[in-house]
Amino acid sequence: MSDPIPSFKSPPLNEVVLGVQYDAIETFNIATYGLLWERFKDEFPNIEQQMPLEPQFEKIGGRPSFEGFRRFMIEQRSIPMPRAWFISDNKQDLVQIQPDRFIRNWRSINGEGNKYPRYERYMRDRFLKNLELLDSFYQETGLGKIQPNQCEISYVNHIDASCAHNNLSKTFVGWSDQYDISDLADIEDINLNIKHTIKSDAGDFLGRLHIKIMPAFKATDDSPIFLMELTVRGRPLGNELKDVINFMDLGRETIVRAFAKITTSEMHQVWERER
Amino acid sequence: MNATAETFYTLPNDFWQDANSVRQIVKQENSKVVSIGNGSKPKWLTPTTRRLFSILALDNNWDSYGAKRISDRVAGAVQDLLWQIMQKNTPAPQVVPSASGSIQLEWHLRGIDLEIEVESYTLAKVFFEDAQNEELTWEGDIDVDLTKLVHFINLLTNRVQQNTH
Repeated sequence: MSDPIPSFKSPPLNEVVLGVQYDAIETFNIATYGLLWERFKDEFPNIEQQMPLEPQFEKIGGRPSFEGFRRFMIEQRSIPMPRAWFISDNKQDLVQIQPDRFIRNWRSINGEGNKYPRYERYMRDRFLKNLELLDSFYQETGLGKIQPNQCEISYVNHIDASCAHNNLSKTFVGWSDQYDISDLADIEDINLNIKHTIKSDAGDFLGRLHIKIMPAFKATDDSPIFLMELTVRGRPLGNELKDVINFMDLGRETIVRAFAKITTSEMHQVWERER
Repeated sequence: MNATAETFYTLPNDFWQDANSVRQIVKQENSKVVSIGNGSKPKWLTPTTRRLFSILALDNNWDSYGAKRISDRVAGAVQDLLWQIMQKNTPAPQVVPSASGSIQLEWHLRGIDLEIEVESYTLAKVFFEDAQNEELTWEGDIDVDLTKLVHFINLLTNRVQQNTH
């Protein structure tokens, strides 16, 4: 991948998520959240709590796992620890923490006037800084050390669907206008879910790129959009935080290149492609 | 309802009386009904699940030699692994807790010995031996690539099926 990474001046990006899953900190308890917030509250003075996220692993060679089923069966024995959201004052930045997960989000609020501040200049450094803060907290308090087992990076795009959810070919090169059974029935909406495996140069399985395209409506004006979510998830090649960042760099490059390849040149003009 | 976690924990024992429950749950949660087939639950599911629940009820020092309590996470990893590698007609494994906190799955059937010690979602120690084909003997760690494990399970399932018919 020696060509320059594609870049858009006005990408339809609505949210960027960088997350790392690690071996659960066994002695993490509800008081830990209070101590943690002391470290994070200057940057993230607001708090919310959410249901915890299930462990998620990209594997190969077996059948898809039944995550919802497993959750029902086994992981209901003890009261689950919640997932904490520490939120910035402008609501655009947040960190999510639970005993086995750290996630750093940037999100557009109300759509206008808050363009994505870019991966290299902003997101990468903020993610690493907040992750290092969490890791040092675990080590200083004797709770343990982050041992990453999966990494995940997601770009969530809100793409204008003009007037309806029945015409994806204007945006997405994988949808053909030859799909036409309008003499029998009209397309009402389109929902796509595509998985790609990512391998190293040596052919080893590294993880997956998940592409989801689904119809949605803008919260601000209820206009129809396609929500296009690109996620790269997999195992970092080592146990250090630098390995996590290396995975994020790979994931981000994969996502941006894939986005440019699967969207039409017509839309690239709208999003002001720079390279 | 202001139910406690304990209430949910006891629910599945009754839940499994309904042969279609798996299909309904899977359909509701994930729409991945295809590999379940015919709407009936896999043969291994009920005995394995019951055994897992009984293992989860063990407390610290359950062997009186300081054994670790089996964590929900390891049991979840077992459940996750079984869903990904098992065929519908694969015989149920013996499910054995270990003092270190892992769970061992064992089959000793029709000349095949297969042992899988699940330590976490991404680490299973595997031993496979086939009396009919010694070249297939294998011992090692499985992480995220389940290809070899699926192959062993398929050999075991087919062997048992052949001897049944």
